[in-house]
Amino acid sequence: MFRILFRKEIAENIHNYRFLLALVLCLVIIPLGFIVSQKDYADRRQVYDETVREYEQTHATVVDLMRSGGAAFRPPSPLALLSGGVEAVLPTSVETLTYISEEGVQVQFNNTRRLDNPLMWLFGRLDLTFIVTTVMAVLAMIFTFNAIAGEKERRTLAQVMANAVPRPTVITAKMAAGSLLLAAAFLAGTAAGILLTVALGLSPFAQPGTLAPFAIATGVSLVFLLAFYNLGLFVSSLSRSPVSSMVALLSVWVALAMVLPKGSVVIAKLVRPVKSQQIIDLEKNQVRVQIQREEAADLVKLTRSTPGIKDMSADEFFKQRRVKNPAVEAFEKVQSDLKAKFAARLNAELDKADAEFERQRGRQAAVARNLSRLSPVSCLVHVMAELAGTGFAEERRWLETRSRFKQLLDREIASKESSVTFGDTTMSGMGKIDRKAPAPKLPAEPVALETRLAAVWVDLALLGIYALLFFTGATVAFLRYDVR
Amino acid sequence: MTWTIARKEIVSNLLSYKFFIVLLLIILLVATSLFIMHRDFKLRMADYQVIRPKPGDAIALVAPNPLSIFAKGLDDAITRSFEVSVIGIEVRAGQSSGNIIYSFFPAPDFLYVVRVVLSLVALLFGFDQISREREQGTLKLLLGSSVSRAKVLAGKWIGNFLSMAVPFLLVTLMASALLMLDPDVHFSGGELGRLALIVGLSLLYLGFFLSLGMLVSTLTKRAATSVVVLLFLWSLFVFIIPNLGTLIARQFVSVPSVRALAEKREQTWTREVLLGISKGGNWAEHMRTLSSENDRMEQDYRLRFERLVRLSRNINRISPAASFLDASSEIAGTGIGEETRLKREVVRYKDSIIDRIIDDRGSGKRDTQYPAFVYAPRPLAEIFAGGALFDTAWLAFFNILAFALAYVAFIRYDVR
Repeated sequence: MFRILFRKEIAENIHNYRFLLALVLCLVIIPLGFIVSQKDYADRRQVYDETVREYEQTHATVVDLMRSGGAAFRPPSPLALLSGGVEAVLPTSVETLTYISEEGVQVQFNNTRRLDNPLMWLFGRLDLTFIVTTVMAVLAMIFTFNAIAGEKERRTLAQVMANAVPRPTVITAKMAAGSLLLAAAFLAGTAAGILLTVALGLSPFAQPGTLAPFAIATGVSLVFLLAFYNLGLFVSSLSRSPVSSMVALLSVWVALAMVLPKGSVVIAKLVRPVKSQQIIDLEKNQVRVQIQREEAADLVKLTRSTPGIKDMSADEFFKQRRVKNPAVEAFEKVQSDLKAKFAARLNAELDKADAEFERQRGRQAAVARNLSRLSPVSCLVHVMAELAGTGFAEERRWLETRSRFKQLLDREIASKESSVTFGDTTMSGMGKIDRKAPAPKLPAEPVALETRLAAVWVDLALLGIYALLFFTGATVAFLRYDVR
Repeated sequence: MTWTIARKEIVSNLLSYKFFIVLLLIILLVATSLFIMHRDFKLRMADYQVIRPKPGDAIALVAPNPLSIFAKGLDDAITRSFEVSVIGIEVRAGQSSGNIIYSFFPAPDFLYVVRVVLSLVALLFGFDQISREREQGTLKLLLGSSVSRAKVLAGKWIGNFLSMAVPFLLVTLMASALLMLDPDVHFSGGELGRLALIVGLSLLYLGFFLSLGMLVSTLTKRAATSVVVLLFLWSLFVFIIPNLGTLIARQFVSVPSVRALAEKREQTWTREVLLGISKGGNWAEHMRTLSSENDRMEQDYRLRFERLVRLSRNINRISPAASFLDASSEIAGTGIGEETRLKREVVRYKDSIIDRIIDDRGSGKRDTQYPAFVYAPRPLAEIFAGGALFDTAWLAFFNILAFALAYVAFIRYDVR
């Protein structure tokens, strides 16, 4: 009996143009989204390659870094066609803020792609996540809104139920046939998109390690579609007419796709407020200025209290330094220790401020994320962003990269550099650093797929649970449904 | 007779379950949208208070626009700070709402709600107007009396439009009134006028989708088929065409990226510094050369960029959703036109003080007070002349076209 019902559902969906529409829509919108995203990626990749090449030419040696500062660049994600995620607000590079001195390196994130394409800002990105959560979700609603209520209205449901067929078999056949057709349209669109991008020389698989995340993302999208399909069946089983079913489904979609994800963020802001980055930067600057002021005062005090030094003029001091006067050398040693002490204090204070800010932001994001998990749309968005390398894991990696970059420059350059201050005069370049040595480079450390998946296992599990839960709901509601 | 049919539609909608769900949906969406965007605006305002330039600073920074609560558009880009230095203009981060998690989902502003969700709601009002009445057999009864088909169609349109527009207007008015109770959100008379225009455009836009729903309903025999076709058209107008326009435009106009521009500026800087070191000469002259070269590059970039935007917008106008978004964000002062004008004003500001900055830096002066940057948003007349009037007329044209086609199809409709 299941087979007959299954075939009937397939025939009906094909007969009433739903499948044809889904197929046409998928064949248009998915390849279009892929091409738009890949074009954008190709442009950004070209800029990234040129920037890195030019940087390596102009920053070949240590002295180049000391003269014009250093940078580490983040390549654009080759899988942004899956999900743009937060890539637009992720840094494009981490760069030194000021000259590298023995006081340590100050680094900052830079983002140069914020307004490359204002139309993308206005209309939003057409990535696969957006297509699945908006267009495909609405398609699932179209497939299901009259699956039960419509049959009741046309009085065909009573005829079916007059046969000795269990209700769970009817609903399972509807679920299997409809979701199979929807999945077929989606997979056809995805395959067409891939073929077209390959034909245009924009293949997303040109970069290594992209095939597995893409395949997983396609599978996860199918689970999401199944969840939404089951939700449609559930609502249709609770409705008496197709129109009320459609309206209820639309409301549920709006709540799941728009209200819950954004609403959870607002609740998180209210529950766990966090200062903005600008305010943190200002506070850090105040700390920096305060410590530098204290350092300058202590240096003056040291100069004025050191016998044999306090009475020297600047010219005499540097003259004595050149002839290696032991008193000057001893003074330099004490001054260097003092500077090191202040540098360590400054770094510790700035690190503390950054760590506290990140901790607070992390707690706020965790509240928002956990609340938003009530919606399968949110779960899918986070899974796809991590698979595309445009999510939280990538952000964390860049926070670590910032620290690693600072440590590298501190270790390789700043710690080997020294300066001498006397009164208002500071002479830099006193360290024993090899200025012609090759500039230190930060090796790229991409986030492993396992790590990315581990970050979203809850969302993956929840998507499966939602699919099961909605189907169970649909079955129970259908068992109680009055078919007359 | 038209009014009688309209009244019948209104009563039938009021008695239906659909109407109450739609009403709840409008309340939920508009209230949630304004609440979220209001919080975002307040955070950005708090940031602005912290980073706003001190008197005498050579920094151009504009405050967040209160209308961005309704139409966020490019307000994040507009409110970045532009610092004028010897090498020209340096763009810094502006007011942002902080945590990276907020970037996962698009800003659910009023325009997004109308453009994406309420357009679907409008389709729901129109999709079964003719086909369902035919299915139920009531259309035959209606046309059996001496009422013309034009009156039936007009009555249905008016009845359904009012059923949708009145709750929408009431909810928007109430939510806006609540918003204005907050002393931190101040709307001037002009801004309230602009808000009224945006709401008017929203109604025009929703009217088009209602007409489209009725058109497809007259072309199909079953309501289910009508829904399927309308969903396709909705995806086409709201998502496909706006992205296709940009894609096509990029094939014809190439624009260097912001990064590439920054690299070129760095090269010019290095060249001038090296020239200054090797050949000596007047430092201020080198800086002026640098500034003028940067200006030339920036101007070249802006010209290409504006050409790309113009072409994209013209192609996108095939979709009423693009026309609606463009016109509304321009009227709100958060559109591409406003951003372009702000950039021009910043360049003008830089030109007016750059000589003094170079001289002051050359002579080691650090406490010079520079005149403040003053920016007046584009007046409405300029916005309308710049394309908003065309977009409004274009939306009206879409409305009339869809209704006229629905009328033609309805005349030929077999009611049996």
